[in-house]
Formats: sequence, C-alpha cells, structure tokens
Amino acid sequence: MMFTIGINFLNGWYMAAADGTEKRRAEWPPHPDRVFMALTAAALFDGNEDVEELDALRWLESLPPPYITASRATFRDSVTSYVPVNDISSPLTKVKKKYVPYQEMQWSIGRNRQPRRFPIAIPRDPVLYMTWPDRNVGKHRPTLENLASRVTNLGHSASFVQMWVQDNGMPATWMPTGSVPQMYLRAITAGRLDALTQDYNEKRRPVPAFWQGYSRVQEAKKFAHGSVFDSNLIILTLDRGLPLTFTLELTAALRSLILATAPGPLPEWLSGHTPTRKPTLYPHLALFPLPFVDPNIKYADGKIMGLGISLPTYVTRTEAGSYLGPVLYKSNGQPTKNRLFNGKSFERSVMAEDREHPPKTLTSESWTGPSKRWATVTPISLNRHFDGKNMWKKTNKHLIKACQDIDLPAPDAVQTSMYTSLYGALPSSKYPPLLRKDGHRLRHIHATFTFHEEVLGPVLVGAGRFRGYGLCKPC
Amino acid sequence: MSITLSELRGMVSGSAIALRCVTEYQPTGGLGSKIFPPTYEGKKYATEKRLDPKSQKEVKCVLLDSVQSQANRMELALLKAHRDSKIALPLLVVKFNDKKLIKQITVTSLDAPHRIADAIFRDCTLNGKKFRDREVDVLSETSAQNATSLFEWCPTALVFGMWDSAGKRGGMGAKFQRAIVSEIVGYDAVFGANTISRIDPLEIRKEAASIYITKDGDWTLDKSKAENPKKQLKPSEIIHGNVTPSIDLNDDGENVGGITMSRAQQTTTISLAVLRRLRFPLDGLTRSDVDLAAQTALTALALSAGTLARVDVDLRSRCHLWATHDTKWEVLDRPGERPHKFTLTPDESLELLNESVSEAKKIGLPWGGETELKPIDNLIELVKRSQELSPKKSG
Repeated sequence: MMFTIGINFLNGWYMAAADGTEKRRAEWPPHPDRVFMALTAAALFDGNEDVEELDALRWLESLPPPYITASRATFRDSVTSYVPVNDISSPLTKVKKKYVPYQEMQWSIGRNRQPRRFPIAIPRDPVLYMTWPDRNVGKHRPTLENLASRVTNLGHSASFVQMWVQDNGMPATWMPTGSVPQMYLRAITAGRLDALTQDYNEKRRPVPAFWQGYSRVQEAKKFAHGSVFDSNLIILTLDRGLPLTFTLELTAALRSLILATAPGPLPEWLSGHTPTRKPTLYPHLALFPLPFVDPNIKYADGKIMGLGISLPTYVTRTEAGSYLGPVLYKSNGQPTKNRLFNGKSFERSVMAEDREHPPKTLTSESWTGPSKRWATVTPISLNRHFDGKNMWKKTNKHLIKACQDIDLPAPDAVQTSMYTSLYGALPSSKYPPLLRKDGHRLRHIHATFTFHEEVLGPVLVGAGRFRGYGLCKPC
Repeated sequence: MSITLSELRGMVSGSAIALRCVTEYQPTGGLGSKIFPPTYEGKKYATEKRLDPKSQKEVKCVLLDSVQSQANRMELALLKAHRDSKIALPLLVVKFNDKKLIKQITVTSLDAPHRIADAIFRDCTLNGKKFRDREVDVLSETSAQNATSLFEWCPTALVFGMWDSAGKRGGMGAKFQRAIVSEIVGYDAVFGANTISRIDPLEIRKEAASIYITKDGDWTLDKSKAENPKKQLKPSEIIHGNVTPSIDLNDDGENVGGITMSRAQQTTTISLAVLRRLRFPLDGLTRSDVDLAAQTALTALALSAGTLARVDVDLRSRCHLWATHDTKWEVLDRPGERPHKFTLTPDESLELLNESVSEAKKIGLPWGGETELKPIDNLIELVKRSQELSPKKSG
C-alpha cells in the first residue's frame, strides 16, 4: 500500500534556485513543498475552488514527508545574462554626469538591462518520484490524478513537467531522516494550503515553511567486518585547505566548536568523558581530516579539504541529529558556516558538505571502502614504546591489536615505515606528536594493513584515533 | 507522416501533455569544424555535463543558444513568414520615421523585448489616444480566463509568454506563462583557441605621436586643443596601428576560441497543459468549442514557430548549423508510453496554422491584422537624442 507522484522534466532539465534570490546554485532534487505548491497552483489557477481538490490537497499536506527517487544531476555553469527590463522606458542612463544610451539594440533604442541568472540542474534521468509508503490514496486518487495532469511546470515557468499519480513506488535514493541529514528540503506540512492561499490573497511571495532533513540511501555494501565507527560519515568542507600537519589543531578546534554549540548536557559519546569527568571507556565521536591523498594520483597535494565526523555505531542517528543538527544547520535548513580557529596559527570556516557532486575526497565512499588493503594517511600514535630486540615484531603485534580494538579482524600483514604509500601524505616525522596529559610525547608511525577479506571503514587506529591520527585510506 | 488539423485538435482536447521536437545538427563547415557559442559575463561559455543518451557517458556540453534567444529567433521566423505573406499575424507596428532621426526604425510586437506589453507601445498612440489609455485597453482586463483580446491583438504573447509590468498595475499586471521552450546544446565540447591581431596597412607606430581627445569628441595631435591635456592616448586607442597577436582568453584565463563538438541538439517543447489553461470568452460567455479552437490555433502557431526556426540555424558569426534530419515532433501522452511522431515541413506548418486560424475565425474568434501605432513626441525625442550621442561617449 503506497502511492507515488511521478514527475518527468520534459526539457531534460530543471530550473529552480537552491539559494533564494542569489540564483547561483540549482536545486536538486526538487523540494516536496514545490510539488505541493505546483498542485495548489493547478487547483486554484482559475480562481474557482473545487471542494474535492481542496480536500485532496489537505489530505496530502497531512501526510509525513515522502521518500524521493531521483537520479544524480549535473549543473550548468552559473553565468550572468543581461535581460531588458520593461518598467523603465528611457533609452538613456547617466554615466559620469552625462547621458549615454544603454547597450544598443538593432534599432538604437537602448534599454536598461539587468543581470539575471538561470540555475539549471540536469538529472541523468529526467523522471523523478516522490513516494508515500504505507499510504493509500483511496478516494482522492481521481482528484489528485486530474490535478497532477494540469501541472505545467516545477520551479521556473520554463521548467516544463508532466506529473502523474501511480500506485507503485520506486527504490528510494533520498529518505527523510531525524538524524544528521545530508540535505534539508522544504517539506509539506499541515496548514500549508491555507498559508499559500493567504499569501496569494495578500499578494505576498510564499515563504518556506518546514525544513525536513534527508539522507541519501547508501547502496548495501558487502563486507566482512565494519569497525566501531559508523560508515555513514558526516562530511564538512573547509573554505580553504590546510597542510596535514594541522590535523590535531583542526580536530581540536572542531571539537571545541561542537562542545560549545551542541545543546547540553552532553552525552558521553560526544564529549568523550563520563559524568565524573573521566575519559570514557567506550568509543566516542571521532574527528579526522579529509586530505587529497591517493594511492595512484601523483599530483595529490595532501591538502586538508574538509573534516570527517564518525559516530560510534551504538549511537542512533536520531540521537546524533539532536546534538549535531543545531551545530551544523540553521533553523531554515541551510548549512551553518562555522568558524574554526585556534587563536594563533589558522582560521577557517567549515560547513556541512551538501553539493550534489562534491570532490571525491569529500565523499564517504573514499574513506570507507570496503577494501582489503589500507594505508595510513596520518601516522598511528603508539601508546607504548618498543625497543630492543624484536622491536618491530612487537610494534606489529601492537598494531594488530589496535585494529582489533576497533572491532576489525586481525590483519594478515602489517608493514610499518616512516613513509606511507599514499601520494600527498607526509612522512611520520613531519607530524607533531600527540601529547599525553603528563606532557609525554607519543611516538607514531605509518603502516599498511592487509586484511584477509574486505573491511568497511572508516579505519581509525591507535591512541589518536578520535582526534585524526591513525586515519587510513583504501589503497 | 504529417498531421491534419483534426488530429491536432484531438491532441489539444485529449490527454497529450506536450509536443516535443529534438533535432541534431552539425556545423555547416562539416563534422569537427569549430563553432562559437555565446559568451556571458566574464567572456565565459555556459558549460555543463550531461549524460549522453547515445554513449551513456557523461560528456562536457556547452549552451549554444539559450531559451530566451531561441524565443527571439522563433518570433523573427514568424515575422519573416508574415512579411513574406505566407501567414497573416495580428501585429502591432511602430515606425520611427521622423525626419529628424538619423536612422529610421520599425518595431513590431514580434521583435519588441516585452512583446505587446513593451513600454514602446505604451508610449504610442492609436487613433489619437495613447495606446494604453483608450477606453478598452487590450491588456488591462486580460487574464488566463479572458485571453480573447490578446488572441486578437497579439497571439504570440500567449505562446511566448508575457508580463504586463509597464502598465498601471505595475508588477501585478497580466502575466502569461510561456507555452514553448527551446534551447540548443553542443555535446562533447572540446575548447579551441582563437588569436586576436591586426596588421596595419598604414604601419602607424605607437611611438609616432601622442593622441588627445578634443572637447567635441574627436581626436587631435595638438595638445592645445585637448579637452584634458594630461590624458594622452596611443594610436591603438583610436583603432590605428598593429595589434600584437595574442590568444583570446576569458577573465578566468580560459580559451574562448570556439569549440568542436560531436553534435548539437536542439530541444523544443510545446506545453499543451499551459495552452489548455487559457479561456476565450465571447460576449462574456465561455464555450468549450471556442476555447478548443483558440488553443488549437495557438498550438499550430507554436508548431510553426518551432519548425520555421529550424530552417536556417545561423546563430551568430561562425556558428552556422545544419540539421542532419527532418523535423519530427513527438506527442508526449501517457507516462511511459512510446510517443507518437509526425513530421512537419515549414510549408506544412504554415498551412496548418492558416487552417486553424480560419477555423477559429469561423467560430467567432477575433484575429486582428497589422495595426500601426504612432510614437509620442517624447519617445521620438529620446530616440533622436540617443542617436545623436557619439558612440565614443557611450558607457
């Protein structure tokens, strides 16, 4: 039992702005509220209120948010066109106290032209679906079908669509979530029809109402083992890169931001401390850098492009959302631009990554594999010092245990070195050491792990695993 | 196979949502020859990536002609057909032929930027009265539920869209959504380089003299006649001398020397859903047969516009395209159904249009002719002043 609204973008593209009047970014996927507004416009277009149509719309607005089936989209470059305005008829404008004609048209009657942008998303598949599972459209079906057939466009008036109602759903690509979402979309809420009607009667532009978080549905990954860290990473983008040597300072700044901004009292998995202020024994929030490093790309420069957050797997997404949502998103659903600084060596801004096509470095997939072979990006901090005979054997044994400490299987092979096999990553000697509370410096080392079967990341090992050291990448 | 008026009427009254035409082109210079897309602010091309349905790969594409530009071309194609007496369209015409003007100009409702709602027509008179101040103003009472007067005076406004923002109601003036959207995109774009240079036959050298601008905008070598003696120009600044060869780059340092592409694709869509929203009351009464006749005529008008615009696709200098197949329109009906297709030549489209207009008139719908408006004195004066201003002083 479900029903679906299907939408076909007849031109092969969708024109609507994701950033309001700026019109520099195209919206994709379309917000459910836009679909509702289009259906309302179709119902009230001729000024006559049909009782059945209004009933159907009120029923639709009472439903929970739909899941969305939408292919990925690419975007046209945001370019500025100059279009002639009509409310000023003079062909002249003042430039340095002199009247000069506007840009000449073929008949020398100039016209004031204003800059305009037309943001466009080009989906791989021009057909999109919004599905309400566990809902029977019932008596409203013929009315909604008729309404949908009268919808002419979604977004800009040039964005022609065909809309229809069907009983079967399609596999979801975006699901509504109460947790930390990857995107916020404007949702349909009870009372929306009345609000839109009032806005129209009072000659006001409709204002966005409720914002609903959505997360992309990950494809099921076949893997033998995952770690204690959730593979659905929260990705943040830095406005400007930083070298990998800033790892500890960056993650410390991010941790301070989260602790200062998240609503209190803070749970153990977030703060890393028990109520009695002792370090927690359980896995807690891990923060780590996302640098451009790669096993094959020689020009990888190692610059930190963003930061990753991984939650312990025992924390529900809903609980995580209640603490991290206010840190990362504004009340209108747009990502918050947060400031990260340490007062001496850097200042950056960071925000939740929500681009349809972020750089590969800023995707979960780049850091979670699955893979059999993993190489360190940042060195592994050793909370024990090994020397003497069999020093390396003992170190390897320690590293194997470090993998098991995060619930990964024991790797078949461990290779240690000052250097890593990833282009762009730095030798271990370049990194500042992790300091214990007593000031003691922990030694660190690079390593490459080979597991018997594929494991799912993120792979974060060693004493600095919650602070960005011991970060590994599939290789 | 083409289409009859009866079949067209059946589509308009049925469940078909839109008509769509996808046409492929090659440069007239042949496969692999360079063409020049439009440039936008910063001398940039509008690029994007698309999934190429032929190769199923994501390829780089460039916009060759925008929705707005295509609308202008379709209107000009209709105007040409009207001027060639192949169709008779309702048209507003304003002639700026006052003797004091340096250049005589004619503007019609098909080439004014805002169509019948353009401020040019607002500032004109008809039979001695200002066009928008007459007892019955074409636009003031017009709406989607009452589109009869617009059908009579400017049916193309119902096809290409219109917003009467220059009238008494300002931004709340009549608004009509466009019913046709078209654009042209080049697939598999590879960017080329273009050089800029000039060889001066007079061999004027930049060290030869300092140039000064006089008070009346001319140039002189005599410093005493200069408007600003401190401002010295080089010969190149008055378009003399050589221009050193260079590569044409945009503000981002990228080549803007045209592109080569595997093909260009023009997609034109006519929304029947938009046209079905329009009502054409006669004597205050709305009838479904009258509405259908008007909607059918408008659909035929849109088909003509889209078909005629494919006759000569010469978009701009060094961007002349040639269609690689006939014009075929698809009828988009039930979702998932294979679209029915029909071919339509330019002559067939005009025949269909004339037939549909004839049917519309028979049922009582008004279809105007050419109406000449006279510009008011102030507007003539403004045009005169802009023509008199020297181009050197502009911008």
